Order: sequence, then structure tokens, then C-alpha cells
Amino acid sequence: MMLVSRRFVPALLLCAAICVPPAARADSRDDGKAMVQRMASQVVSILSNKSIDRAGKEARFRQILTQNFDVPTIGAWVMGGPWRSATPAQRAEYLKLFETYIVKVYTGQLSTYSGESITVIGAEDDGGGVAVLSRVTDPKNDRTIEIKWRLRPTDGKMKVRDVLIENISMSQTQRREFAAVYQQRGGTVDGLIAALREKIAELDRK
Amino acid sequence: MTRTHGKALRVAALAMFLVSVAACATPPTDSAARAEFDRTNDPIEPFNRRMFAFNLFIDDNIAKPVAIYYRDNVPKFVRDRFRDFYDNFSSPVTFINDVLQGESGRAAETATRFWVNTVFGMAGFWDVAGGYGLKKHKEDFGQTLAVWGLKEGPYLMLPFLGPSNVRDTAGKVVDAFSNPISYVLPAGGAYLEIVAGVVDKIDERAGLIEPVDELRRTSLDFYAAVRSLYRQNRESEISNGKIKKPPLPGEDE
Repeated sequence: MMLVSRRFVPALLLCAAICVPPAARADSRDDGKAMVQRMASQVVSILSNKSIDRAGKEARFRQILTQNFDVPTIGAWVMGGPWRSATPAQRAEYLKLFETYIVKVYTGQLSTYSGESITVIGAEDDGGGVAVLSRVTDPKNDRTIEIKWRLRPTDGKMKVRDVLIENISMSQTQRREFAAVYQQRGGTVDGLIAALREKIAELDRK
Repeated sequence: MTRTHGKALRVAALAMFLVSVAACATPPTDSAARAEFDRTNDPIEPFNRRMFAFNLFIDDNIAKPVAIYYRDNVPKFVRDRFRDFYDNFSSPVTFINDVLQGESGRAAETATRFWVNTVFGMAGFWDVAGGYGLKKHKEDFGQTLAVWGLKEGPYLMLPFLGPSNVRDTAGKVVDAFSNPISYVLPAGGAYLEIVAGVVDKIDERAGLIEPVDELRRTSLDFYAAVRSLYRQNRESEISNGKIKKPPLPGEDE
């Protein structure tokens, strides 16, 4: 028994090093594509359901977001340098607001894309994860928009870390924006949190 | 004569604007803030923000209402024919810059498109070549300067024209004079060219009504969002879409 396992350990390690990665990569590419496709059809079904009000839509989008996006990692990165000096209480408060903010941003943005449909067209290896390529056709303006989803394995499943719309990174844009607001609010984490809270209240009003 | 006059005026206005840019932001002393200030590369931010507010005022009161009117009242067929015509008309600028960037394949593509569309697409009103898989692309002198290794320089918010930087502003000045067709137009052609240029801007704005509204409504700082979007979009244009992967949350700084 002992002998067998001892002989098998190197073999297993070798196999893990040689056989598993390509298979795993192909798998994760397919997983990623399936995930984006599933997410897209969930979003479309929510948008086309006229009986759900805005709060209902937001609640459903929040569910999709937390299931498929690595919100804590994105949130921390979007805050940038100040994250390192933020207290645990500030971090928790900020992440809660960040999630709500993102939900509101996407609910608004997606609601304008009513006539558009998303098609997954492929996936490629992307560092330690996968990038899924999709295309949205906008019949109103007669154009197609390329959307790339960058996924990373997170807690045993693939999760979105960034969305690139025509090569423009949403996380990067938000990070630059948050940095500007942080400076304007006196360079304090509490200032940034206050700005986020005010924005959410403003978005709730209209 | 009038055309040179109009362009000279535009250039003069631009030069005056650049000279008037004296209102500089004070660089912060704190090291983290200083790094952020350098990365943002917007030393005249207070001035740029005022210019941005001015542009938004113009957009709210003129550009956007006109764009909405255009989209709602001009038939799609007419809008498409105009867009194809104007793209074809301005494609020599793209050709010149393809050549200056050493992109012979793309230059050949642009040249082929131009002849096919001019001859078979009724002076360019129909993008026939596009239907055969020769898709259009655009190049300008700002991109060429970048390919030649020129850094973008400080961010600039131009009156009426919107986000730019020192390099792209210089590029715009050159672009305004670099279309060879402009020089062989018959008398009166210059007026038509200006009108067509304005219609093109309206058409461009008309394609962005909802996305811009949404961005403005939801962004924490609309000015900073536009600044980042402009930069990223230019990087993508300069690399012809073959941009290296942007930094990723959780992996890069």
C-alpha cells in the first residue's frame, strides 16, 4: 500500500503538471463561455419582463452580480492605494456601498440596451484565467459592440474580474474615477465612502 | 481662400487657447498623491474642468438636441448614405497615416476601399467594399505621432471638440489640412466640406445619446470618467485594437 502510493506520487505529480493543465484550460474556456451565455440570458429575461419594477430588477441584478463577479476583489482594486490604509470597518462599509453602486450602474446601463442581443463568440486563455469574447448587436444604431469578460478562478468557480467594452476596461475607468473623487474629498477613505453614499442616494431619487 | 481662412481661424483659436492655458493645478507634496497626480497627467485640471462644463453646456443646449432631431427625423437610409460618403471622402487622411505608420497592408486596404467605393459606390455614397469584407478603419495624425514614439503629453479639454491631449491636438491641426481632395475641390466646395464635417459630428453624437446620458447619470465624477475613457480609447486606436492586456483587479497595480 505504502509502496504503491509512494510510486504513484511522482506519477501523479507529473500527470498534474503535464496532462491536467491543457484539459483544465479547455474546460475553463468552455465553463467561461457557458457562464457568460447563462448570465446574458438571465439579464435578457429580466429586461424583457415588463412586470418587474426597478427595485425588483436591481434585486435580480444584484443576485447575478454577486454570483458571477468577484465584487470584493474589484471593489478593493477600484479604491486603489487607499485600500491598504482603510480600517476593516471602512472596507466592509465601502464594499457594501460599492456593490450597491455597481448594481445601480449596470441596471441603468443594461436597461438602455433593450433591443440588443448578446452572442458569445469565443474564449481565449488569459494569464491565470480565461477571457470570453462576446458581441452585442445594436439594431437601432446598426453596429456591433465587442465585450470581453476577463474571468479568474475564485472560490472554486470562474468569476468576472473585469469587463472590456471595445477594449475599454470598466474597472480601470472606475478606478481612475474613484481616485479623482478620493482626492476631491480631502484624500480620506471616509470622504470617498460619503461620495459613494451620496451618489447612491441620488440614483435612488431618479 | 475661404477655406484657408476658416482653417486659419480655427488654428488661431486653438493657439490662443493653448497660450491662455496658464491656470495650473498645484502638484501635491504627499508622495502617493504625487504619484496619482503624475499618472493622471492633467496639470491644468481646474481649467480643463471649466472647459468641460462649457462643453456640457453647449452639448445640453445645442449638440444633443440637434443630434436627437437628426436621429428622429432624418431617415436611416439618408444617414447611412451620408456616413458612407463622408467616410470615403475623408479616407485619404487615413491612407496617408497608414503609410506614415508603415502599415502597408492597411494602406492598401484603405486605397482599395477608396477606389471601389468611389467608382462602384457612386462617389462613395455606398460602402460597396465593406460588403466584400474590406472593413473601414480610421487613422489620424495623432495616432501616427504615437506610433512614432511621441508621448501623449498633458490632457487637454478642447472647446467644442472635447477631450484631447497635446499630441492629439497637434495631430488634429495637421489632419485639418491633410486631405488632398480638399485642395482639388471646385469653388464653393470648401463650404460644403465644412457643412459635411458638422453633419458628421452630429451623426457621431446621435449614435451616443443613451450611453452618454447613462454615463453622466451614474458616474461618480463624469469628468474623470471621460478622461479615462478617452485615454483608453486612444490606446486601443493607436494599437489598432491589439492592445496589451490592461491591468486586472487582484493581479496588477
